[in-house]
Amino acid sequence: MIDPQTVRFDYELADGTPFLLTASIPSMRFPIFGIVDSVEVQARATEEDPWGHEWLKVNPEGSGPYVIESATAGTEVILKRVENHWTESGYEGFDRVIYRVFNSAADITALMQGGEVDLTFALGTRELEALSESGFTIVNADLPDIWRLDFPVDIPPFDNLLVRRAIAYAVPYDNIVENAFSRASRAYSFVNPKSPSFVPAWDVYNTDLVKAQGLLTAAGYPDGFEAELFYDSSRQEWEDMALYLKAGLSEIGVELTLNPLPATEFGTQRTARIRGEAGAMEGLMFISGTIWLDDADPNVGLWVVGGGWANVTHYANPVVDALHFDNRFNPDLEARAAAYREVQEITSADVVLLPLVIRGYPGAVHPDVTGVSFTSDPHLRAYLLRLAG
Amino acid sequence: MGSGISRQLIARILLVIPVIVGIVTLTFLVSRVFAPDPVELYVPVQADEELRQQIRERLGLDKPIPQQYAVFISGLAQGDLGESTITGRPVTSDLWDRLPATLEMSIFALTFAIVIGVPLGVIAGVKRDGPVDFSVRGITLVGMALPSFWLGLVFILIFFVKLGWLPGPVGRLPLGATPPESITGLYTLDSLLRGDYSMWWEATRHIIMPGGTLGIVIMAPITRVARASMVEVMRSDYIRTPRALGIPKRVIYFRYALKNALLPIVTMIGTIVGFVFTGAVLVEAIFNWPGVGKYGLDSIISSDFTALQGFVIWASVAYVLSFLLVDLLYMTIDPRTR
Repeated sequence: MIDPQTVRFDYELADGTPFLLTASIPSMRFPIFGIVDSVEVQARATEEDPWGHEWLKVNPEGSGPYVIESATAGTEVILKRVENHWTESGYEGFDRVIYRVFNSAADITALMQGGEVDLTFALGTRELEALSESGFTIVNADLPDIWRLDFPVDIPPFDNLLVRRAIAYAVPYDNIVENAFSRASRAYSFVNPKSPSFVPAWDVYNTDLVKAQGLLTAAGYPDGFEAELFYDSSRQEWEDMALYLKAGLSEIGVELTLNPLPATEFGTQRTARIRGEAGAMEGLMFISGTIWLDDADPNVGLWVVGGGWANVTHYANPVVDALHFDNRFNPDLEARAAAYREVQEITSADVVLLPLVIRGYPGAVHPDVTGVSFTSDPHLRAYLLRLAG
Repeated sequence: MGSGISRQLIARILLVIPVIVGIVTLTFLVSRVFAPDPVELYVPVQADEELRQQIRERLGLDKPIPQQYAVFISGLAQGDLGESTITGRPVTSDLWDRLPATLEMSIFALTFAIVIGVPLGVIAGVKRDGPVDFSVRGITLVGMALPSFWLGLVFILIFFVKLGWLPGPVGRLPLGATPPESITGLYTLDSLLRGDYSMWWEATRHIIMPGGTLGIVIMAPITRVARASMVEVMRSDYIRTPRALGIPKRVIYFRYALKNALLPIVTMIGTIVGFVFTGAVLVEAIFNWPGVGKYGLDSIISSDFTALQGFVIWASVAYVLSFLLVDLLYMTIDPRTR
């Protein structure tokens, strides 16, 4: 602690070597960075629960501009503004902020239109466009929300590189970007474009059905084949993307069977697939991810390193693994960035996955409300919201 | 004769016990055999087997199934349905907290459906093939054909979005409103008992659309059964005779006909009571009504199998008890069943 209001974090590796954190962390909202009142927590710690998790679960600690007035799990959280906040000026936001969980996009849209709800970040493209036409402000937090197609590279015919390349040239990128989304653009990597190691390695793939058909024939599938596509059915955009992809691949004889799964079932299947359980999602998969850190390390470590925590493709390449593990803590930042650029080039050439769309974090705001902004992880800065005028 | 009824009553109640034990056992087996491993809900993908085993032990899933069943039944006997993985609270407490919301909407909907549906059916039955009968048949046909969620959405669109007469689907009270201090848990009643009339007005406005939607949905079968039953009764000899004797129509309809037509109506209402007390899942979901039905739906969406198991047991018990109630009413209405 430098002074009562400033804390400095020094990181070190397991062997004690000082470590420079290369990513910017403009927010400390991750639970692992949380600062809690040690006296309060230790008083509730037990032998079975030495970190006081059980107490902290229902007694959130913090020092922000709001406190939790009431909370019902899965239903509602009501925040109350802190009077006499420890900051000199305090905050002048709304007295209360209510977060409410709704299961239906139709309900949220109706409540926005009826003036009951001021902000939402839970709507799909169509509902947002409908609200935009009704005069609501559409905001789009600047986040790398990347939607992609992942290949099960250990399962035929997707273990064949030529098949994966054929599909990469048959995907109707423009249709997907322009018709399944609004306020989105084509993604050329699975890495945050703000990262110094970002490279648009997938810009070599554009829709070219002649080339795609040639590659498929060379792969030994001149008449195409049948395959399955798995995705989370809770998001309308996946449904639309699936239809465009099915139509696009059908042009080269690849007939997709669409397998939309409820969100939790999709999550369970994805976990089973990552863990290598037989029969779990043996087909193409739509995956999305928002790694807001301006660094390639987490994306690579999660998705393309052999045995990565979220490696649904089962891709394993010793060169990629070495580039990652040899450089993730490399203090030579230029060499580090170059290594991660090479990882993207290799995984693009191997067509492990196909980044399709990148968009922000869109939401609709009532015209009477201003001051919407986000931390980068992303959390709404509720204390900056104001009534217009 | 009184002791005969008591014996029958006790016999019916005793018969309920094995049914409930069967349901509980089946629910337990389904949740253990067919549901995904609940450990996955507690651990991240990268968790090692040691951590998974720790969680398994904490949840008691490391024990043999018969032992797990014994623990489950023992807990159930003490009102313990386990802990929800999502809310982190005992499922019994979660259900108990949500029960008043379901009861309040059920009472509203049942009152609406019975008060309007039964007289409509009776009138249609008496005035068979007349304009009233055709209208009632048309209305009930539409009522039975319309899905509750669609009807709810249309009501929201008309009465909230377009006309602004009723509040949106935000639950029992306006967003952020503090509920009345609980006496019964029914906001409309509690606010009246507390003398808080503005709260009563808000609670009433909020229940009209969900309660009305559910009421219309359950009114249709009640009306149809009431009509069919009345038509059947009006054809019988014991109605033809008083008619021939010139007994006033009002007496014939209400003293002779309606009493005999009540049995199928009571059966239908009993079946519907079970349905509404389990929370009419879709209606609660559409209107964000924080009752047991929405709790059940949320537990499915979030794969909270302990909560789902608790909901299924509650729903089954509610159905069994509603059928028991029908039996008891039968015994009261029809002496032949005693």
